Amino acid sequence: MDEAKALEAFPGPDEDLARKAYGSLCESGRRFLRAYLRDKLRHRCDHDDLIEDAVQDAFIKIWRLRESFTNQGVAAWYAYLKRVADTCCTDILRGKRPDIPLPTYRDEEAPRHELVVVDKIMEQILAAIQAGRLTHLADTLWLELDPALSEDTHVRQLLAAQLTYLDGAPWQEVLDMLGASLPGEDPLTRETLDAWLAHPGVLRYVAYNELYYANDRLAGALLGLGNGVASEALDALMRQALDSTPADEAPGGWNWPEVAVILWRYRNALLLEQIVQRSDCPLTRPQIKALLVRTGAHLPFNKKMADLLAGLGRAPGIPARAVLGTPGLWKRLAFQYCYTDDLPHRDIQERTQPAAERVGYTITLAALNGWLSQGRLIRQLAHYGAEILGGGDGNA
Amino acid sequence: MRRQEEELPGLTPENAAILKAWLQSREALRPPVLPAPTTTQMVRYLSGTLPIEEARAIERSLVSHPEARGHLRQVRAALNRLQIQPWADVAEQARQESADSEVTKEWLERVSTQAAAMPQARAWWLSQGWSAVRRQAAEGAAEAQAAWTAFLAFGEQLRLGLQQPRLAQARGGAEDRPVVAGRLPAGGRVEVLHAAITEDGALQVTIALRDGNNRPLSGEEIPAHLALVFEGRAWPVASTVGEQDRYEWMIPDAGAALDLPAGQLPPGCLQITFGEPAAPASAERQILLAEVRDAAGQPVPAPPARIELPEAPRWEAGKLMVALQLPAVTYAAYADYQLHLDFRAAPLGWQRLGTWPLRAWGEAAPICLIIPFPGGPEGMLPDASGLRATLQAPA
Repeated sequence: MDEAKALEAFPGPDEDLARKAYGSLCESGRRFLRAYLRDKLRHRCDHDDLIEDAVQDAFIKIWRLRESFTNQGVAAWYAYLKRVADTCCTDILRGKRPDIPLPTYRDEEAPRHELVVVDKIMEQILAAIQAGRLTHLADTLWLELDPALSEDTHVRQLLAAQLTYLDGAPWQEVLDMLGASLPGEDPLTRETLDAWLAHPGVLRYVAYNELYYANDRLAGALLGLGNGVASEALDALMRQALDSTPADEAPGGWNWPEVAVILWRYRNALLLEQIVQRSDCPLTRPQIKALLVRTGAHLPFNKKMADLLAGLGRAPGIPARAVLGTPGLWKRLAFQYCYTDDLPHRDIQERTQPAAERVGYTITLAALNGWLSQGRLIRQLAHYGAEILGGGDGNA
Repeated sequence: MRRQEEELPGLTPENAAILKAWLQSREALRPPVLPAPTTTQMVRYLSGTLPIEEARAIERSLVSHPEARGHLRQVRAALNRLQIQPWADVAEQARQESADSEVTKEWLERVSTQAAAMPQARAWWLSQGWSAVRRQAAEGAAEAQAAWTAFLAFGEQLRLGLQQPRLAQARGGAEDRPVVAGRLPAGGRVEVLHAAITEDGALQVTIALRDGNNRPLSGEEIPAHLALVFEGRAWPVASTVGEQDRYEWMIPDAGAALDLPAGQLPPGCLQITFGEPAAPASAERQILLAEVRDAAGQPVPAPPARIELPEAPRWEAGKLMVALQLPAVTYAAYADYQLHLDFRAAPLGWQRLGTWPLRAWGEAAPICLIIPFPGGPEGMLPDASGLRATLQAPA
């Protein structure tokens, strides 16, 4: 049952249908609340248990409040869910840890008229998701890829540029590898390849792929495990790290307690405070602080940008700094880190600023606040998606 | 379009937080974890035999696996080495373990699959037609890929043919006529109004029917079938029904697929069959055009050389029999050259069958090359254009 129908049925007189609607709303609502509470309770070490308790309590409350519930649209539903979860959190915390106050900055009531805008944004983003186009739209919008080309062609452009600039393949070799005159497509010519390789959007696409380190990838890189480390391998490492007598030598030249902290910090994006509060944390606060200074020196972003600039520098006439020093690349990275990896702004800055500096761009917390905390980027993407997909008037 | 520079008003932190949690809960932006392609997949990707969806998936995987890109380059280099060795040597290597043995075995499999499907390739093309063969080949069907590969090979001969003085002259407007067959209205004749490869790679042909007094003659809704033809070998590409005296064909990417340059196409390259589409006959005696290369293997600006094949090549008991004869003019011009003979083994790959010095043959009697082809099928190579001949200057 889709959300709009479930919201209609939930307060209705047919209890069987209402239960079905409730089940459907719980499913999407739990995922939403976990994401929301993870962010809200980021400063706490016991947030996993707290989140599950709060989500559980919230849905019990929502069923009890069913008769007084009025359907006011999808955005209003999520605002309601959030308010109920906030109340549940407060209740739980008052019962368990009354000394820790809840953050209050998000507790103000949203203006009603803005929920209409949020509804529209959700509708437009959902249309892009259902078309399987959201990532491609984000790439096209902020990296400024040629919007007339398909996602498959953009991937081929990226591959051609990677082979050329990162791997040093000569053009003939790139043509041989990508020039497949497969049925249904035209052969790649030297002229087309040259145009691809000089396109600013393609260069930013290469940079984005080089610079974006999802949490697992970054943890793997810091532990010296290469580019494509499997999630299961990192799970196994964490188990070993927390084992009192790990059998093997720790990876990457670290010791096992350090491995555990690196995984918490970079894979799970925990803050220093959260790590310190963990009962199973094997290091003290000063040790962790010292470790994070050392890991900071191992972060790959600066070197990645230096290598990329060197690769682009081998091609004559590519204004690499000008192309990569525009806001779009950094907006794309910030958007991804925020909405996929759930990083706080300081962490986003840590993963972008070293590379941005190399091309003369500065990423401030104020800029990230405007892009992310005020929802400007998601609004822009929804607007763009509506224009491209034709599913709305774009007035998000 | 520079949409990102538009300044949209911000939302309250409350609503921005709702949107953030909502989008995070959808997991819609998380990049898919794609496994690195295997060596087998790389060989198939590079030879153009993967279904198109799988080829795209390989590319999506390669962009996130730098090591796999390095491996792809190694596989390509290994394939290039294999493709210039005689086929029997490649088959022998596949039995031995070496750094390239995985590539060798897969390439052997590709070539054998192609060879096995080759005797039926032309029949498949005739029964299915251009569009269906393209679609099936993109889906990875072996018969369709063989048919498509044979058609591409034919296209290469046609392209070389256009470099010959006679056809090239026709491009300049000299007298040239299409081959016309089938049930043409009584007293009618065909006038080619337009035949060209357009700038965007389409094949565009328009003809008109004329009576004995050069007046328009209605086609009476008789269907007409267009084929490309070269040296008596015809490959049908499209059918249409006329409107009054006009027949038009537009095949969007035929020229691009066959790598034919944009420009007028000589009417002599066309065959038009009216009425029922009869299976176009293949010439008994076929011509194979050989590209001429310098000692370094680079093409030279000379017209291609003609080699005659008195009978269709055929596979028999693990050997490929190719009878050929050098016209006096070819022998006179290139007696010191070496002939490389290759087999079109995949849409994107040729396999060397062998190399022979012309001097050893002379120009008189046909020569029958008996080429070891381990794993070859039993049957005829239906079109000599499944072969590629190159004449290379002595070092």
